[in-house]
Amino acid sequence: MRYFLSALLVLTVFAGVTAVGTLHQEQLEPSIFLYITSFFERDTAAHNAIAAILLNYRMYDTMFEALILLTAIIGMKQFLPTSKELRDADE
Amino acid sequence: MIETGTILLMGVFAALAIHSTLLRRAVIYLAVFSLLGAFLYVLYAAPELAIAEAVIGSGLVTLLYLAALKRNKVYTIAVLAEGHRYRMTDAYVNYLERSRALREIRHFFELREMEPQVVFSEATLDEALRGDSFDLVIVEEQDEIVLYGSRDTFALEELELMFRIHGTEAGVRVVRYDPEEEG
Amino acid sequence: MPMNSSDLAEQSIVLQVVIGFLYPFMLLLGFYVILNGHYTPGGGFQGGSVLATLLVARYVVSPREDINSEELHRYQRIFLALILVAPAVVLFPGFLHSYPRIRPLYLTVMDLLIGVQVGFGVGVAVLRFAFFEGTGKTWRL
Repeated sequence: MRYFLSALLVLTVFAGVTAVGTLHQEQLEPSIFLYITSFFERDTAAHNAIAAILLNYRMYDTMFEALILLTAIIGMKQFLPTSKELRDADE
Repeated sequence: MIETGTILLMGVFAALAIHSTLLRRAVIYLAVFSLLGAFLYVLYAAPELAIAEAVIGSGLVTLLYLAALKRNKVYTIAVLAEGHRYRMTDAYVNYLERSRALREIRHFFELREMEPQVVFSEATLDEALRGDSFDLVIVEEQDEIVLYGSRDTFALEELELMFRIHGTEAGVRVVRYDPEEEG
Repeated sequence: MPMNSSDLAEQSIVLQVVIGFLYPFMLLLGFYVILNGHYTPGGGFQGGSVLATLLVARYVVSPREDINSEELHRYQRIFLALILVAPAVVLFPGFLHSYPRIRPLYLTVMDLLIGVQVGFGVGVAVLRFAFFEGTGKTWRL
């Protein structure tokens, strides 16, 4: 029963997200796309639009991405016992 | 055309990775799967994602799986010479190597992704059971083969079941012991 | 089953030879991908992943605990602080607009910082799991 309910939950969430994603399609103005693809070289001196976006236009995104990695490592250090602790627990 | 072929190949390799019996092969299939995914990203004109997929999918993850596979690998089996006046002569080793029971045990652990490492030893049973150095101790007595394994030895029940189903020329008996008590 | 690291080091000659041959080239590739991030596809994250792969490959070949993950983690935090500080000093006040000459320098430095940070971070995370082996007794099935 528990497995069934959890599977049902997962499937419901999946279907809901997919439905929202497909039904509610926002028509974006192409202005941002056109602006970035035509002016990124002048603005940032990068020859690669993705580098320009990551390091200039959307810098906050990159910063918080780096923070996520730090958070993950801190969590791992906090909750995984080291091999030394395991050895002590064994004895 | 190339896209469709790549996607179909990815499906094939995913199925192979799931259905292959050897874990090491499954890891390699997964690496190929990721490489095909990277190629697909190149076809969709997303080289950044292709590089990330190639590096992480077929480099980092493959190495991580290989490192994990190294963990549970060597399974040490000791064969004692108690039934042969405590002498491990070359002829006796040859005879043991050719015996069907030992071959079956080896095959059993190879199927389970472990590397059976057989040690022919002249130690007595007490010495062999003491300590933690052997996972399985085999002694050939007059008319039967006795397997000594501690209670937490891997897959001892399955091994016993396999011998009961297949049967060998000699009888096989499995003895479980408690390492703390015995040592 | 008792296993020490010397047991592991003696295994798999193929892996040792291949990784030993590829090691310098992978190092070169990693720094190439990082430093050319603003000219060609690639950049900090991808190059950093190559560097993390190097750390893991090193562990697979010779699994000794000589990589100090505490040290790596400290460097990772330092680089993360630099990543947070550099745009706050250079990008957000608008220096890149007033001095266009430093734009390529800024891109290269940021790519390098992100690359090393990601490499050390993912390396620490993976090695943390790799060294998480216990004594063998705990993991016997």
